[in-house]
Amino acid sequence: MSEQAVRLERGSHYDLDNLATFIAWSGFIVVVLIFVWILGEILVNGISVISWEFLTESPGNAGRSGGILPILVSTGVIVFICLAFALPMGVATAVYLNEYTLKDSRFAKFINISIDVLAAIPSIIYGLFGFVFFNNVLGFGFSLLSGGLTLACMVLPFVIRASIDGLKAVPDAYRESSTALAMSKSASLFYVIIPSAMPGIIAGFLLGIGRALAETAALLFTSGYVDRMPSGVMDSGRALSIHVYDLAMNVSGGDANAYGSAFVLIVVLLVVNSMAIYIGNKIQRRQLR
Amino acid sequence: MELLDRRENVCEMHAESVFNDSSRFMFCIDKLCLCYGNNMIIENVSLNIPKNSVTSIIGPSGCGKTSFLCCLNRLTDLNESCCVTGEVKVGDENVYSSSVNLTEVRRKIGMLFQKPNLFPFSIWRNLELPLKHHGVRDKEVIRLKIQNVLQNVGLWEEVESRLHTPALSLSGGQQQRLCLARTLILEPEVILMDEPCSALDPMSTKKIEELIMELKGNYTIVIVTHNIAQAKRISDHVAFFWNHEGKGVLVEQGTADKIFNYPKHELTAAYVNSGA
Amino acid sequence: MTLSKNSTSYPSIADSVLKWLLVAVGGLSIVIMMLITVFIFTESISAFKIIDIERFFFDERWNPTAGEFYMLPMLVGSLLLMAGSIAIAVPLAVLVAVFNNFYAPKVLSVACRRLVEILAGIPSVVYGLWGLVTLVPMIIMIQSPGTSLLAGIIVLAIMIFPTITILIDSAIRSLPKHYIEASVAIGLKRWSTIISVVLPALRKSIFAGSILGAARAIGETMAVLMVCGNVVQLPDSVFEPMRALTSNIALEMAYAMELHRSSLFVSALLLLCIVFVMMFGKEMILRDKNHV
Repeated sequence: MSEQAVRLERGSHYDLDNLATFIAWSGFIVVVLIFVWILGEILVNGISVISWEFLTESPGNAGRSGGILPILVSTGVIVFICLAFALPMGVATAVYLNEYTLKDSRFAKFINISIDVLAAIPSIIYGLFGFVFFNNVLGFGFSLLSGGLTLACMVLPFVIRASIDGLKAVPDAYRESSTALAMSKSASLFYVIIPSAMPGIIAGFLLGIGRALAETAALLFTSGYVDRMPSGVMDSGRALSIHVYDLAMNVSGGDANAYGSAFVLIVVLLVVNSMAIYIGNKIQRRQLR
Repeated sequence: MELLDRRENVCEMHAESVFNDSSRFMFCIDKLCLCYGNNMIIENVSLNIPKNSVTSIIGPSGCGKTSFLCCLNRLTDLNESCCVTGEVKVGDENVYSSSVNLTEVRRKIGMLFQKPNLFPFSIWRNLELPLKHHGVRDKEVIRLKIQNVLQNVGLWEEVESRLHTPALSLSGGQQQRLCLARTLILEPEVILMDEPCSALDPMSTKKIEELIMELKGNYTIVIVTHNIAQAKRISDHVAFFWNHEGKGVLVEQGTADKIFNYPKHELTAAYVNSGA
Repeated sequence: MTLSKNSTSYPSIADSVLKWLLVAVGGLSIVIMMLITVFIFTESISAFKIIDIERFFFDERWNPTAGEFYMLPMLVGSLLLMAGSIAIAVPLAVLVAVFNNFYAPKVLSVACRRLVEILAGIPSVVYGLWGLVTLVPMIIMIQSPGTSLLAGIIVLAIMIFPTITILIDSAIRSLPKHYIEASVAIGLKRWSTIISVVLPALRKSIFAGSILGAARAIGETMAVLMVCGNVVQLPDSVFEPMRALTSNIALEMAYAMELHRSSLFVSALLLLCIVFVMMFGKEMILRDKNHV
């Protein structure tokens, strides 16, 4: 009797196990299908719009016709400004946290908390902050500059974290030997440690580009809406993501070009992010060794 | 405990006998203590290290030999929780005084580590980098110096044709000799070596030992080693450290002949005979 | 001899200048954090001076130009969106992370991991576009108007899913191997191992992932703005359109003046508080580190 019970129990376990395997596989397949569907739809609908003219012409008829050249230019300028500030600041902060402070120093703890907080703040709040601080208080108005600076604040925590990962992967032996060779701290930083931490810094750089490109809400009130070619960094300009949003929401009949712009956005992001992920994984593996 | 009380007598006797003759010594170390946070690593070490000779630091694992070595060129600065008291005099200058020119001290005291720790750059760059940071700009001078040190460590023929390939592609023994070259290129007076052969095969070890014998006429060499046979082969002077209740202490010091053949302290005798 | 003369060419002055420079730059992230909170706070103060707080909950409507500040529907809407998307995304993320570690063949699990990492970087505006053009018409087939709470929940769930999955996946990978070995050794099958050993050990990571996802969901603007219909009302069913706090800011900030403007900053402040409370709660719970 008891023997039979044991066998029964085991039998039901096998059934449950098989069921679980089935659920796990189907969950995975459903998720993959959903994302293939989304990406596939955007890419398939987008690629039919892409042509040389689409990339090199100005938008006409509120974006329904024509291309996206001025938008690409504005996006490029915004991302450039963003990284021009966020990258040096991020690397410097990472160097300070990793090379100069003890873990339990109060100031370092406070910086770490502020990094966590900055990473958690929703992008629309960055948008409001940029609108008040850069547009009004500093008087930049709706401009690529204030858009870029707002994004720089937003991207900063991610650049810092990636750079810290890179610095952590630099073996202590390098620090010891450069000190033993009587190199000053600054010299060993600039010539040994930072060059050795380059993979992490590059990953941070790419991650920053990815974040900046993907952002929309923070740019609504900072860099503006205007879809003509910007005349300078103090001029207003429209980022690619805002273009997608505007065509989809506010322009009836703009769907085709919205897909086209989204296609460009996704392709660039896929390239940038896969590079960042590839480098990031390499660093992790090196750390494990 | 009794054993260790006697230790002090031995050391004092020795220190007294040679104290007047300070020009013979590269390092005069007086009552050196090292703490990490609240843990005392080295307690009250007084030791004089003679010029242009090989001094071996021997002793069991965890008795503070490597930490002691790091005190000599203030590499302890890298760890902020590290605190050093006592005096380490190089010539007339206390390494731990605030007025000391640390760059100059570290230039004068080269160091070779347990594992070859070359930078992930080319062979050339590894040698050029320290030179540039000590103000040598002239390309021709740099080239000559690099060739010179590589010849000194017997690497020149092996790497002449590939000076611009990554240094990390060399074999372990070659890397360690390149590290030595990198140390020598700054024209130091002292070379500290922290178990330089422990990661190497016997052939490479032999080469390094030969180099040490060649170098000792011109340099003061302080070497930490676990290998008693090696210490016997190369050293002129020996200092024996022991782990006493978690703290590193100096038990006995003297010429190699004295320590290996006529040790005064039971611990020393037991240790030097254990490996032979 | 040339050496020793020039060896002081890198004086320690350079070192200390560099150090203070780094301190200053390092402090910058603190400054930015302060600036953000201070500006959001000061901008919303003028609203607090004039409007009683309860009016945000008991006014007739949201019509700031006419002096009505009924913010409750948008707050509730945001919370509903958050709860709904978490309810969908977290179980799915756990499932996929478990699949990745225990069921998938090696090649597939690596591929799946890369895919999820890439998906985490897809911009929200793209998900919004897909929701607007594809998802909304599908919902219309069930019930008009299509732009609805449901559409928002689905799009948000898809959006936050990768972030949560990455976190749980790395938590599973950092589980000590002996947990699993021990349970296999006492003869537990794969499923029982997962249910009785792996998932309990992951409790905190799953919680942390949920908070992270929730914070992203409640802060998300574009996707929600595009698919939710933006009618200010307490939705009766998931098929009703609604407006989130974030969308409200995005929609009205461009033309808002004076009191209207500061009432929008009040909603931003509210958002900021919710996010802070969630992050703080997460820290508190993760603090005692018995688990991964």
